Amino acid sequence: MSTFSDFNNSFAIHPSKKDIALKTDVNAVIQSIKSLLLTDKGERLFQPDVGSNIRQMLFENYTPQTTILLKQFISETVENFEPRAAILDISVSPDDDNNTVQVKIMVRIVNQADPVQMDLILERIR
Amino acid sequence: MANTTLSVANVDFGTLKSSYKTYLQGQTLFKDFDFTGSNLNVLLDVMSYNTYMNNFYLNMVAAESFLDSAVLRDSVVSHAKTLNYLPSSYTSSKATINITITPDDAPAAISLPKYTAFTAMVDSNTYTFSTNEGITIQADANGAYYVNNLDVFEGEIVTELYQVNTANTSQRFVLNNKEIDIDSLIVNVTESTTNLANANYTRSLNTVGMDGESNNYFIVPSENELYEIQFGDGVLGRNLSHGNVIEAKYRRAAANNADSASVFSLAGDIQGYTNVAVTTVSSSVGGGYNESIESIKFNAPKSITVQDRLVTVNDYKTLLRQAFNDIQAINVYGGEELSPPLFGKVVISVDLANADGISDQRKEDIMEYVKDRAPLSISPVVVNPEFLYVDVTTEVVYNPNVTVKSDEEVKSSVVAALKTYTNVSIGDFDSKLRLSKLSRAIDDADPAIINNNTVIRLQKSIVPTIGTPGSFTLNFDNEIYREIPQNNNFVDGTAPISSSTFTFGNLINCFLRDDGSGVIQIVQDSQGVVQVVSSAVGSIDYTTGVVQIFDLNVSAYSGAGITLTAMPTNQTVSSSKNIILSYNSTPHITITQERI
Repeated sequence: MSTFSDFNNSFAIHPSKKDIALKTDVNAVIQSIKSLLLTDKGERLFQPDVGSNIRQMLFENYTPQTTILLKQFISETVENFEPRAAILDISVSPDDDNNTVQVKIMVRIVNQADPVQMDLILERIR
Repeated sequence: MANTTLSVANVDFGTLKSSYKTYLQGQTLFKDFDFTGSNLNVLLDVMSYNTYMNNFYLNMVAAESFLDSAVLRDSVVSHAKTLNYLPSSYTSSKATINITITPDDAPAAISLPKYTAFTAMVDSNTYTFSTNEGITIQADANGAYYVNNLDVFEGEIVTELYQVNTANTSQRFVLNNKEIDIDSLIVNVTESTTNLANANYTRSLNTVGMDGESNNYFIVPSENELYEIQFGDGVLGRNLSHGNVIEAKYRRAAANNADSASVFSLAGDIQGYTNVAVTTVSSSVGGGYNESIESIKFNAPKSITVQDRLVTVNDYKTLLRQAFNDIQAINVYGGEELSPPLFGKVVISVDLANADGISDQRKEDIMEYVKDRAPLSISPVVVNPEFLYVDVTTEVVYNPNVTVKSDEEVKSSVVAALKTYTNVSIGDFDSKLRLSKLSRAIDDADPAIINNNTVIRLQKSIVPTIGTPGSFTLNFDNEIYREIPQNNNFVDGTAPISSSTFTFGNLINCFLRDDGSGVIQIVQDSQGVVQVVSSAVGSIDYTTGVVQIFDLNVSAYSGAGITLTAMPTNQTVSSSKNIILSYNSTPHITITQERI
């Protein structure tokens, strides 16, 4: 029996149950972390502190300080709002040719023996 | 069965979301509802926000559904309408003038048409006043053409036309100006644009005595501070026909902005004559704004109990305040309470805003209004209010170690506190001033104040004519302290009744005082020695506080009059009938420091 369960971002349908598909345990936590990181502060109603403010950096010039700030934002967000995960390492690599930033986050999730790596690509959406 | 698990009757987002979470604790399918980043948590945000908005909306709808809690004017007016209450409109300033026309020929008569316009300036703004009736002026025996005591009313004359369209079942006749003075509204209905037969319709407040042929209209409040005219249905009041043309003519008033106009001149001409002299009998007064939301909420429920009839004291107060929006304070009592009694009279004492008392013209207006609504055997008397002033003497002790304020600054705080307290507690009919509470207000004026020793006295003034004997009656309306002087001296050096100084004959520094046995004397203070100059010029009833002075003939006095000061027996002073207890705003304050 799963410890954590949430419905899927895509509202996908379970192929056999025809009910809404679930994400459980590690997948649920990773989905939660991604949601938090891609949420700006002030975006959630009546909860102005929830979010990471990463999107605010979209139009900033990419400098070594940007890497530090990104790591800081990610670390703070997970620490404040996701009690099920602990950050082990964060790697931020700019991909200038594709105008994106590759983020790899190594986290330890409660009730899981092994650390989990999650990948996040920060890019403009339009 | 009632839902005891999910409580959504709340307008706090956090509480709503919390109740959803509590509800979700009862299931095991979605377990992440309490983690901020989960999709389910985001969904709870949306649901909580939606519930919050619905609850807020319903709360507002419910609030607007009751007269007590409604805040929007349209809602309040709508509730008032169900109580048959008509919120008072803007009112025109009214002035009274005399006009004299000097024609260059000798006509048999000169016609002064209705709405003849005059202009007047107030604060650099020009306002138009006009007559509200037509007059024919005949030459007098000397060939002079004049009208005395002509009432003129401020306001631009507006005419609105509507054509009745019975095919339009939702047609309404809403007058377009919120500044309308509805007392000036005149409604005429013409048969059609081609058949000019017309009839004047009169305003009706109710349907009593009305039938299908009655040429009446009703005026009711509408949205956005406007008014709407309505006509009968053929049973109660004549029903309008298709093609009828309604003409509504009224004044658009500038409220009290046009009050105090005192110089008037004719705008245009009167029957071609322009040599017209205008003199002012009384300056313009009585302009007012339409009734406020708070006032409608206060008056509407009371109005329905009054039913446009003046029977009880509260009927008078409610209806008169509603009809004359420049009334600041009003008291009403029966003539049997007077001494000597005046049976069959109702005494109405009125203080108008921005004026001490009430003009003769306004008195007549009020009496006219009352006569139509009071029982047959009752006749109204409108009287000026009397002002009974409270004089405050206080010794204030404060600790300079706990404040950086100087003596003068502490004094200023005390002055301000006195003003605030008296503004709230007195300044109206039937008011009381309690010394203990006044004393507390002084203590609370500044944290550094340790204590105070305060005395209140009552003051009234008389204005004698120099060199002419005059009699005066002053009602202090409170029991006066009685003290028998020992060897012509009072304990604190002042008699319970004493006055400001005046010259009597050729004796300066004379003043009035009581002798402790109910007699008012004139005494002279000659270098600290008090001598009786006239042993009996009046009397005092210590119990009722009525002082009478007979044939007082003074040679001179300073200021606007002679002020009599009385020491009340009780530490609570009050006023009744037509007396307004008021603060004289000149406290005697002594400041003392005590370092603790």
